Amino acid sequence: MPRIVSITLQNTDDARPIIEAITADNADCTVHSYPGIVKIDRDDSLTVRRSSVEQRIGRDWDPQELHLSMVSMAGNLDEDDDYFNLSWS
Amino acid sequence: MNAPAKLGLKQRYSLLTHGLDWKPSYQPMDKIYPYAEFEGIKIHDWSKWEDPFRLTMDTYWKFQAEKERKLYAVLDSFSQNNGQMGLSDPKYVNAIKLFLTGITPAEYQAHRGFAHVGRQLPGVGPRVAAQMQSLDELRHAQTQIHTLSHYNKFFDGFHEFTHQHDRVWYLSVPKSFFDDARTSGPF
Repeated sequence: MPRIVSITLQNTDDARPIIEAITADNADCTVHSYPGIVKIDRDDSLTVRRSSVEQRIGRDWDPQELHLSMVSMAGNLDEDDDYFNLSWS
Repeated sequence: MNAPAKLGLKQRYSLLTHGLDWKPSYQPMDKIYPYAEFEGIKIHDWSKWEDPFRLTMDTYWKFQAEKERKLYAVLDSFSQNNGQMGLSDPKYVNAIKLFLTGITPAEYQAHRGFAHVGRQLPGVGPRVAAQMQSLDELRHAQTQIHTLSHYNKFFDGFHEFTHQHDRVWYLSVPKSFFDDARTSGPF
């Protein structure tokens, strides 16, 4: 049975382009919109890509800037300069 | 002159954690870390575990400082505009009193617990992770106290919350649990 990984971000101007990038890059993810926050679930793995976010905000973006918008996450983390990946491995 | 290539995140993190460790020579390891083998604990290879969050101290403070600037801007605005007069439901004030007695002291206890663990673990990966967690919990307690201190000027019941930590009934179970967790007590 697949296990769900998830990331929860604030629903703010800073986070919306990240949310957009995640939903564009991760096929079949489920987006739950709650008051003030957005929780994105996906089976097995989910990746936030530096390039996809940079494309949307038009400036350099460090994946560690996620810490400014992130409320919660589920999954094992693999973090590098170009991506932020959650998976159950 | 060639500029050295920029290091990747994984290398930077490794240099600023594992790379800062050293083997003590003035005292034996078991004197410095008496709890590491307490009651027969055996850890075969401390280097096997690494913090998945590759946050170094400089990055941690850079991002947390930015978050706190936003928080304190909100707190300033709230107090300058007498936000406490415009609450949509007065029960909110009761809720934050419960929060201050029920949650904030637990964050502070978590800070102390992780500080202790960070001091006692001989493995540099978990030691640095515990140190970061300890800092983070202390920051939570601090921002909560600063946030709620504004209400203390206008409402009763916010004083002596650390004194109440040993006395409020609704903490009896979680406090006992966290006391055990923090001291490796019996579960």
